[in-house]
Amino acid sequence: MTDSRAVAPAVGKALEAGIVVLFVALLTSALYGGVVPNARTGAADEVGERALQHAAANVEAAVPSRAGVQADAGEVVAERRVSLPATIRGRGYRITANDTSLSLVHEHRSVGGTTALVLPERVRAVRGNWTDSEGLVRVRAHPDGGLVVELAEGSA
Amino acid sequence: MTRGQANLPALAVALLLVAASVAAAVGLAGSAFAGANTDPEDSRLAASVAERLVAADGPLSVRANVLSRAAVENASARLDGRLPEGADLRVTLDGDPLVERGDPASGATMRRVVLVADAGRRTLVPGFENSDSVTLPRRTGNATLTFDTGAASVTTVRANDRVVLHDGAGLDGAYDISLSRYDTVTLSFAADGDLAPGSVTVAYRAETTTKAVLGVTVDA
Repeated sequence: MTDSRAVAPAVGKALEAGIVVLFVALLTSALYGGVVPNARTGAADEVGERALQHAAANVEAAVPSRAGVQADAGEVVAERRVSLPATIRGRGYRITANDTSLSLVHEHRSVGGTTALVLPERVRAVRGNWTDSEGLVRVRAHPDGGLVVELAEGSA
Repeated sequence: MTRGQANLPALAVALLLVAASVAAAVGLAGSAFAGANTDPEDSRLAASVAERLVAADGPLSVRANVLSRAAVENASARLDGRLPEGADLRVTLDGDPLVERGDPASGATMRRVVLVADAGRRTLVPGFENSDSVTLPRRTGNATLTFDTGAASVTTVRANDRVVLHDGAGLDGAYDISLSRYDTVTLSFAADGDLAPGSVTVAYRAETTTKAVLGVTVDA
């Protein structure tokens, strides 16, 4: 009885330390296992959506309203620089054009999307893609009349 | 033993408080994400479609921000295939739907103030009762004069003191004249006698415009 009395504080401290360590481990794994990745994905989804809309608005704004009717074939009628986020969710991504829409492609499956482009009839094609944070929209005259919109890398 | 571990309940309460504050912080962050979850595509598409419709080379426009009445009445055929696919969409003019596809009730709306131009040819037969001149409505760009003179024949036609037609032997037949759109034009006729009513007919292209609000609602 008198010998074991001194053990009580040591056992108590060890127990408290063990419980705290267990709690912190549980909390950390709960946060990094579910909450933080979900928040990152949620933020990336919004950033991706806004980046895509920003890109689409700039592609539409790059097409001149009247110019380019008399331009020679292949001549660049208008150029516009577009600034995009360097990475989304810590990874690179790609914005591709296919004539009537722009798509954002990201390796995380819940980030990305497609949005329609509203362009004049004179625009025959929209092509190219962006993988960089600096994009360039180049509007060229088509040999058979009309315009072709190209997405090109801005830093090249 | 129970006396020795008296601070364990205190530890439990402390951990409970930490857990509760973490849960509150995560909940606040979650509601911040929910609040940031707007739909930028709706408003971007609505703005783009509205911009396209009022552009100078738009499917309904006469010139920038001016729509043609004839095109507006035929809007569903004119806009066919020119509006973005895969989105519920409604185009209205002063609240009356021009084109409707799906039900874009929860979408974003973009409104633009436009003019709707109603163009047509009018004819005017000056009476020549008190004066030998006639004033055309403002912004008339050209006119066709037809002379059918009887006793007296017109020798000179002036538009705001500028001679536009002259024939000393008398003008006969129909003539197209171009006028300044920036001035209100008064045509004055000089004749070698008294002009009878109906001896000159003036046909001109008149455009009457009315203000309207073009609304585009898109729900992608």
